[in-house]
Amino acid sequence: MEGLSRRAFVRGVAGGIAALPALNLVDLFAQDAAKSNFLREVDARYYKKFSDKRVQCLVCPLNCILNPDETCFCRTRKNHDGRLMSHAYGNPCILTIDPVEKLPLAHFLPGEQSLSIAVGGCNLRCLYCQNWNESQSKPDDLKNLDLPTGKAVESASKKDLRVLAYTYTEPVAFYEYMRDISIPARAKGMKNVVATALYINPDPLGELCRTTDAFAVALKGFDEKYYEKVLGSSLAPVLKALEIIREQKVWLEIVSLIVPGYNDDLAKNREMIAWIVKNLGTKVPVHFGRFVPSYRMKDLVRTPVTTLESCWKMAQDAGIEHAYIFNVSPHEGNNTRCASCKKEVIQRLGFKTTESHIEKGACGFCKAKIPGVWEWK
Amino acid sequence: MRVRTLSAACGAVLFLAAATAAADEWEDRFETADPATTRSLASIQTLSEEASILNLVNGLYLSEVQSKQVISLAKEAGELRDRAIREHAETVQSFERALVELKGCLVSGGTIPVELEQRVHSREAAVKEAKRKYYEGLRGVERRLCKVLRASQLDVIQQFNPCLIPPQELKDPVRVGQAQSPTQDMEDHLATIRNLPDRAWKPVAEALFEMFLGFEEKILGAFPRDERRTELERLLTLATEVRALDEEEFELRKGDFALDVIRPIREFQDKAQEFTSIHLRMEGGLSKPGKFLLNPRVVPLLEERLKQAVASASVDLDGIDPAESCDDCGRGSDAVSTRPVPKPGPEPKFAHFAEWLGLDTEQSETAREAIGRGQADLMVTLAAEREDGRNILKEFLQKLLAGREGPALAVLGETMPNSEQTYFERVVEIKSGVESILEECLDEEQFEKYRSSGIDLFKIKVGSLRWKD
Repeated sequence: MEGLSRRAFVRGVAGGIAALPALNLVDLFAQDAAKSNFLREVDARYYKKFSDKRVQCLVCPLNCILNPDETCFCRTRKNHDGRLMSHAYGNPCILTIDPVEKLPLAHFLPGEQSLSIAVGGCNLRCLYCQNWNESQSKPDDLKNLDLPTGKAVESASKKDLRVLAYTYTEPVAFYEYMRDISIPARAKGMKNVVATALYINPDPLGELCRTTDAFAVALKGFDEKYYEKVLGSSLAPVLKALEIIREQKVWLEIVSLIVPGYNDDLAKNREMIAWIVKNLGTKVPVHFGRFVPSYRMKDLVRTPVTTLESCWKMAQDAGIEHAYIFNVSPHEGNNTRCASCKKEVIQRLGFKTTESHIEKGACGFCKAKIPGVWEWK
Repeated sequence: MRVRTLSAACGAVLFLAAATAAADEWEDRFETADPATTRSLASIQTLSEEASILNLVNGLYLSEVQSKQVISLAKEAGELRDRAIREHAETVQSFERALVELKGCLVSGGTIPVELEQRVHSREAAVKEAKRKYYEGLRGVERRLCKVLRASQLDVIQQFNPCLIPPQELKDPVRVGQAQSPTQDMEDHLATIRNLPDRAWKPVAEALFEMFLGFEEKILGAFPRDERRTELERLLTLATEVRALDEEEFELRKGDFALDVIRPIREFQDKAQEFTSIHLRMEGGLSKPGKFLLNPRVVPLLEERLKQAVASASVDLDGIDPAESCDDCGRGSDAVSTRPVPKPGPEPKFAHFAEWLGLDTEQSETAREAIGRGQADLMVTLAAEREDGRNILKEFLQKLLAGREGPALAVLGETMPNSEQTYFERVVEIKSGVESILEECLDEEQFEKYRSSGIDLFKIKVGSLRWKD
């Protein structure tokens, strides 16, 4: 306080009060501080024990080997004296109601609202993460809600929401929680959708595919170096995981955020599209998105729309039946066109469907089938 | 509220029209006084118009084909204008001659001859008829323009109002995968109200809502007294409902409540758009798409846009500061991050503040609690009941909103009830108290880092939990 004039100090205080959005909320559970973030520790589902109390997590290709008291790279699981426990269970930091189009999913029950759940933590380190406050924190360090798995399903049900979305951070990092919600949700006739970078091992993915109805997978680039330097990850396991989803026949849409100067090289994107066509087929929708400066990449410009349009056109020319542009609206690339008669069967503004000509999963004009999940079954 | 909103919307549109007309007058008047300023005023008008058009064009994401079509139609509209001026030059000039004669009569104070009166009326009618035909032609061009644009783009144009700085939804719309909501600020307000003690929440809520109503009045005009009270009651009822929700319910519904708070402003915006459309139709001219995109200024702006090459230079990935990766073949680490964390901005989330200082879990808990309690104490103190019925927090915020920092300071200089302390002294005490706790739980380096940062503890967003006495 020394050297601070009364006026300057009060200006600061006044600024604090006047910037009332900043006067947020109050944690006064002094005596319950340890429980205030609803910490629940559950046994991780995929791990190996060693005789010397080390453990190896087997959820994602990092396969972290931990001494007692060490935490995985994803920040959500810890070695408790020879047991790997997840700290990301029943304690979401984000809980909202969103349109499924926000994942994004363009061919999955358009107009349906979902209960969106996210827990802190992530097994990537993307330099541009827009939700980095949550994804780059341990669940223990965030302000969370108390939402056991049963309550999550009940909440969705009470609000007449039939879709649960695991999104915003990285669902692989809260794998057990996601899995344990998705099973009863399925049993109640609800659907589960996952927005993920898909950096996950085959076994947990295989299990997840049994209760997941759609994946929106971020294929963030097509270059190992890009994955290493910009995302702190690796591409090869993601491609393998995509093939597993295809084999399991779960609905899949690919999402690629184009970062100017980093992964906007058209030749590389052409390679990526060719790989998708060859390994996943032409019926998988592919979304190209505009990057917005965030986190550790605040100094870049937004992706030029012409760059997105080049990728979008390239995908269509390569045979991808349904290519999209996102984070740019309004744009022709937001709409769904019939691959057969080329007419627009769904028009959108942002996440909202403004007009639809899909009838029983087919084009309302020429009756050609449009791939996707259009009706409840 | 409805009548007030309607009349406010009407007033806004008519004011805009009058202001535009008045601007022309100003330029004429400055012509002889200061030619340089006259030129600047004209330039300002041009630049403002261009900024507005560019804001709209940026929000429309016109394709290359569309841009070319819009340029072609805008040029066609320009040619129509030129042709109309050429064809009706004699009509316009003869009207001007008639008006010169009329002015001569009026200056001399004499009677206006019937013949002159009839001539002025008939020339005026002829000019109006010429204008009507001209607009008829332009509207044909506008119809073709609307066919070039998508339904979603036409929606954007309908909602657009001329501006120098684009509104939030054009500048930074909600994105795929983004957790932050468009009504985040109002949601934070509601969370603040929710988390105060039962005994003290109402005066704070009143003060916060009074500030919001002051802001609303800047847009909609002053409330009649009874309407203001009714609106305040509505907001307090809403706040009572928000306080009764459990955490989960609040998380799910806070967006809806936030929209409900700002409903009058949204209603005004809808009505203003409606009135703008009516006004434009009454003028007999173009509607919004034509008004904005057949404007002659569009042509050079779009042509320049088409010329610009926008490819970004490739970045050498070996030269960047890379993302963290897992060391040592999968060996985990308890460290949150080994990288330097960017300094928090002026209103940081607590998680960022804690990460920047390198706080461990225990330090984070203590610091968050101390800062959160300090913030709540501050508001509760300022809003505490007084025998004279005054709400100091309300008065302070009102003066601040009105830009009267001195009087706002003076309010804090008043003595607190049943005390010899002034509010200012108490605020200083609260802040010192929080800093003492921080000094105790942080190490020397961390505390010094905070102290030299200039970060205002009262601006840190600490999170959400309910007060328990």
